[in-house]
Amino acid sequence: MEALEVAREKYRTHSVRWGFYWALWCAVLWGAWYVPGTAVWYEAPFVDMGSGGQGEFLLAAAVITALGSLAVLFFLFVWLGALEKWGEYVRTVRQVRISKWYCLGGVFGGPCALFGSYLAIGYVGPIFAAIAALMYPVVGATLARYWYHERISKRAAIGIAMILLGGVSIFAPGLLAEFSNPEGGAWLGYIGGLMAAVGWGAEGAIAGRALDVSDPDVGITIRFSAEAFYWIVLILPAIALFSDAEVFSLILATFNFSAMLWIVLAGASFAFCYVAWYKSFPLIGVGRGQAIAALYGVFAVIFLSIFTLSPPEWHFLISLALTVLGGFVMFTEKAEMLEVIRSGDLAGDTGK
Amino acid sequence: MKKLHMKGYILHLLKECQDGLWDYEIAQKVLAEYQHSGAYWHGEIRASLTDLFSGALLEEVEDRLDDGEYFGAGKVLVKFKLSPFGHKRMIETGLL
Repeated sequence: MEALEVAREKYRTHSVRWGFYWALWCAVLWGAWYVPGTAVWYEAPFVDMGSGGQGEFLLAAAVITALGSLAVLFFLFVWLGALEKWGEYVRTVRQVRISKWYCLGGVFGGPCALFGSYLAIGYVGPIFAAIAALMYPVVGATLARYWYHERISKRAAIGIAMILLGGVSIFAPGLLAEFSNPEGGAWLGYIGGLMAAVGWGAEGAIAGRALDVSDPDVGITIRFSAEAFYWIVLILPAIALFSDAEVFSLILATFNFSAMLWIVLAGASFAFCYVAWYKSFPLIGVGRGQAIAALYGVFAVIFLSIFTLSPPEWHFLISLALTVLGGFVMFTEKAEMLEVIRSGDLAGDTGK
Repeated sequence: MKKLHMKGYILHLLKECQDGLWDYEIAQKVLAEYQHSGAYWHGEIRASLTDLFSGALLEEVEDRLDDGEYFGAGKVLVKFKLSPFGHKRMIETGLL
């Protein structure tokens, strides 16, 4: 019996650890995304648009995000092919009462969160946008807790808070300067920040709802199929139709080697970041998965420092210590607590 | 009838067997249903069962050590049954 107990403990710890590894891998790739995600703005045709007024900036953001979603989708289909799961994709899409949640997740994570982030960058500043986006695990954990009773222990809540504090302290010193010197229409930027936090938080909670009855690799591919559809079939044509913007000539101008290289690289990192994010949720829950993934703020600073050969500010060390400590607090939580991530007596719950 | 997706099929299997099924029995049925084979798919099915259990859709009935016959010597074999919450989720998601 003792051997069985040991094997049981090992299995339990193994699956919980994998949940944390996936979430950490998500944070690394999310951080890496900032290199191509930033570099593309320095390439034609976007290099002049960033400073060419807010309308042009938002148009550029829409085109980059739309083409980016196609690149992500391409890598996800390659990934599904490697896993021999194309058949599972079709079978899951046919289950409309499951796939509809991924399509809804695509609305929150794509047009709402990403576009909200760009609004925040354009109308307040990139630092405010980064901090606002980092708040998304609070939204995700709260929704998961009250919607489908995910277990958030006191220890997990402390870990989440420490990681968020660490993330915020990376950007906080520059925030006051942005607040004191906002561009016109700052309120739009604040709404954008709110859209980012609510968007990514809600996406995670919604995905968590569908992932309990479907495969994570397939789920994320359905979610990006939906997002690519929204951008390419609905949003870009709507912008072209109802504004004077030269949407299609901008798309054509994007088809140059440098711009496409960054968009494809951004697509690759974002695709596998999302795969890891979705794989972590069933194992450790949406609240913990999102909080560990919020370490992307730290990795973004590291990757951008390496890429630009300019070391981060000294206070980055404080942020790093806080986030690592927060991650450690959660990682060392007892596996028994995490084995079943939802509280008992769920059958009587009527929330859908 | 068109084939269900894998987790949906597993939930249906357990719905049919109220007393529960061992994970290796589930694996055999799933492999036959989707015409898969090999260690990779065994691992995928075990991962799906772990997800379903973590999400409280399944309950453990009993467990014992694998003597090497199914997933590998020293691994834990688990007998699962559908939980009341799993039953409820099947209704909500159109699986029942």
